[in-house]
Amino acid sequence: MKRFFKTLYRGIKKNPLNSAINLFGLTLGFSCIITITIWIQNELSYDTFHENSDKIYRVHRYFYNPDGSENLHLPNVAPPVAPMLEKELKEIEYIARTKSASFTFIRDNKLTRESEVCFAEPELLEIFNFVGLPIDDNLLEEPLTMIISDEQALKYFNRLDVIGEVISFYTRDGQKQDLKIVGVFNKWNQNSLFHPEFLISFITFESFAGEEEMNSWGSNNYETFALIPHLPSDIDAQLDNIIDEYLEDGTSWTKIRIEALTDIHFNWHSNKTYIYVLASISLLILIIGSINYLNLNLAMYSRRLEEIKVRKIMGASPKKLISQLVGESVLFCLSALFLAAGIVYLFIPEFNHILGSPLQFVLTDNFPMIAGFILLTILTGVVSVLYPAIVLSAFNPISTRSNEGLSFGKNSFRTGLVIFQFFVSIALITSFLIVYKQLSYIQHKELGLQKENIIVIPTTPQLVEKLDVFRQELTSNPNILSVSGSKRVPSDGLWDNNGAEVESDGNVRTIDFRLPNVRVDEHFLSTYGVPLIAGRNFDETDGDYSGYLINEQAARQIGWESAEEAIGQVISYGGQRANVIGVISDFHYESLHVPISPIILYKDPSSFNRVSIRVSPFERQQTIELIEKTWQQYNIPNYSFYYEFVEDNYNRLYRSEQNIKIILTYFMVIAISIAVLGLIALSLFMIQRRVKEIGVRKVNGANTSELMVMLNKDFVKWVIIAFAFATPLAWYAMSSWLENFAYKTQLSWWIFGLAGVLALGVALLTVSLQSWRAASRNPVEALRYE
Amino acid sequence: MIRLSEIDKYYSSKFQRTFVLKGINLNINEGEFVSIMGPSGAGKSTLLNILGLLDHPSEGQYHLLDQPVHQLKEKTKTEYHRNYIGFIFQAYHLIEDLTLYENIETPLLYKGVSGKERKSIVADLLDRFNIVAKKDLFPEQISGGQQQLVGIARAIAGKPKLLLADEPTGNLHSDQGEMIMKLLQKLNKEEDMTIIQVTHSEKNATYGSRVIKLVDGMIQSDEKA
Repeated sequence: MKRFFKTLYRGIKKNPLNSAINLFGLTLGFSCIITITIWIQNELSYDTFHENSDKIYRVHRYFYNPDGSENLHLPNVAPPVAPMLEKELKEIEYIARTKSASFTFIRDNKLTRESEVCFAEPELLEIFNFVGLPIDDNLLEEPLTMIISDEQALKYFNRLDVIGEVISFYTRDGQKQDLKIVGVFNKWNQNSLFHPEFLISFITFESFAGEEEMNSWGSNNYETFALIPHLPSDIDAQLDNIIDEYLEDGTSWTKIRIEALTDIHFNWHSNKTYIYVLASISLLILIIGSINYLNLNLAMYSRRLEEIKVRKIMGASPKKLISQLVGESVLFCLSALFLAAGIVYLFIPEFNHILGSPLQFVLTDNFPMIAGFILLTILTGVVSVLYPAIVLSAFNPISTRSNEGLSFGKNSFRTGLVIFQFFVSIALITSFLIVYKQLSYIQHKELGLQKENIIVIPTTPQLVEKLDVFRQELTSNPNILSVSGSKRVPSDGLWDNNGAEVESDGNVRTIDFRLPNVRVDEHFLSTYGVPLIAGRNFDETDGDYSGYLINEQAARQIGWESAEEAIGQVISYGGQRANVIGVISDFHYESLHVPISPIILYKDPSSFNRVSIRVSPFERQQTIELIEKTWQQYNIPNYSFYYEFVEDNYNRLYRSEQNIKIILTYFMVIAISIAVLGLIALSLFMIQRRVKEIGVRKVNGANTSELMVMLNKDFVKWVIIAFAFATPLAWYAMSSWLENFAYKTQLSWWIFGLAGVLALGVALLTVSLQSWRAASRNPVEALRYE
Repeated sequence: MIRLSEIDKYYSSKFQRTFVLKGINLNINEGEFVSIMGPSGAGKSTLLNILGLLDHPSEGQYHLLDQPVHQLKEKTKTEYHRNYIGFIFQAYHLIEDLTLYENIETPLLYKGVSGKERKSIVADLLDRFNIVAKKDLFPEQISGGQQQLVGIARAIAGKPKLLLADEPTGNLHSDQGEMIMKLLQKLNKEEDMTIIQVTHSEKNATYGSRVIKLVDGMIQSDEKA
């Protein structure tokens, strides 16, 4: 055993460059694998902490176009869905509606804005794990009662026994209401779909919203959870039957489906494909590292050939030789694993910082993972050394074959490995270039509106009433250019929808596509810089619903040949008849993942939640302060102020793509640097083997450049073969990735060419450094002693 | 053909110069067959390397074919290797990955000889040296004597004016050695090729026309064989 370590130590000391390159490659490979594993584990851990997590489902709703294609998929449903399912589907043990909201709470005259507020039916407490609540069957049954998390109890009251205390808020029409606390639960600290801090009884919401809302099939704003202990296998068919029974034409235009709680994070907030892809890439990086290890081991062993010859002649059995080599290799890989663990430990906070992820590297309670890694490491160690070990030990010690070493360099297996490294590098470079190109395309794509320098603030009915005065006061400042009220703002989703009919020549025709609405005022177009193509904008004299603006897309889909033709036509939208007074140019209200939807705009100040303010790019901070001060004066004093930039909201739509770009950049750099280092060592070895040949050729009249061509030729050939394999793969993968976008950049041929040229350039630069040194050397040195 | 005047070759270390060659003055005419002899470390191989433009003298002048080659650039030296100088080594130095045929062809490729011409030159050499049947074998598959035959065939393929041989029979047993020496003699006599060989063997030296004895980097004697 002592001898074993001695041999290993001497091996490293003798080849410090090779050992360092091996360690570098393996360590980075293991680091990537560990990081990705932690990440995947984190992704899979969502919502698994509930006792019933495998029996909890969320109710979803789908909408279909007349041609049967999917129009919309919502993770929320309308209020009547829950009572309907409870009645019709006997397998449901509990079902509960929730409606999330943000509130400004008042306690001791202090205002606090809370976003984790949720109206919930009492059954929710049976479905999810709420620990610490009092034993009381009537929790959340009464209006104006709520339960809060222990953390919030401490925050508001500095103690935990707060049952019976009240927290107040102002309703939209300015009335102060008290919410009585009836329970305190332990905050959910685990990864979860939602993190409720305040659960207010649903009946409270029902009294605000009114009966009409509660019976509306069109208001799909309620996240609904069900506890189904035994899911029937024909659940989809049952749901379809129920819908057909309750709704006219039922499943032809809408369906209800359920989704398992533990799938929700993966399906909605994460991206399975990305995870598979990243896991594959990190595995590839480990493979690249292992290939270096294998290749350089082959190189080192061929130098140890003399030693092995002698050992064999002296009676070492193949078994003994193999076990020495495999043992060395496994030990080496294990040290790489330890190094990797250290690197991951140090790097995880940075990783979280870049990606906004909550990863933690905890070893203590993660035995299966540790065991898995050690197994993987041993496997890597064995696999990367088994081939050379077997070749070596089968080597006949009295072979007449050259004493320069085994002809590993000619080996097609080994060539294949190097080609594979180039293949991965080229594929990664290509993918990176395409992701980069698409993201810069998104960033620079004309959206049809001016998203820069628009600040959005919240509003209340009180402010809406005085919006004109508010606007006048603000716009008297030269840095404030325009002020507009609306229900939602561009970059939000087009969530509001209603049925529409077109009247022409006395015929009423129902519009057979989804026509969502955008509720605005007459300043919207000027604030967002959306051009009017035909007709006129709203003006002060227009009342609610007194006229409609539509976008070009809507006009096209309705079947009007030109924008002018649309003017004066009558549309009945949600039952409100009015003329089309103008057509606006198409703009991207939503992300570039989806095509521009037809939209209809009308004035509806009573619905306004937001005020958009176009400001000048100068003295921004003062402008924001001014807006806040003015807002405070006009608003009821009990709402807290916040603001956001529309541009930031647009950028946030591509967050996961931005993350992919960052990770891909890291992976690419890591993969290429491992491959380059491997190439340095490999070319060094291959050229060293040919030093004599180079000398012979030189005295026979070869010049330096001819020799370099000879030495570089193989590598160029390998890059070209790798390129031929990598390009179709990258093309296929990236075109499917681009399918995620309705608006995409071209997969130009030059991207693939550039990736190939980059790889070739890197390879040639690496190899040429070695070959130039070898080719320009005086041949006497190589030929002197024999 | 060769004119060396006051050639020194030394290696400088901190405090002293170690001379390998000192004050060599030597003229060799076209068609001579010169043997360089001397004890180990006398500077024989260094002299041969300088003559073959593989090494450069520290001091002195070397005129080859009336050109001051001690002033040549690397690129022009390659031209000399292509056109005027052929090498034979003690260890043959055949390229292992190439067949015998390809080994002989190598200098012709670098010289830029056309494919057709190459074929006839190589065929002719194979024929002359009686190794036609083995042309597709690799160096390791034939005996040392035959490897050296190929080495000579390669060295003269480009029709050099000067053939340099560093102990061409050093690795061979006496029968094969004799065959090689006879071949060199024949090349010298029949084709008027200038040959300079380094050798330890008095017997081998007798095949040549002139023997130069080197001791401690200086010419001790220079006489007819």
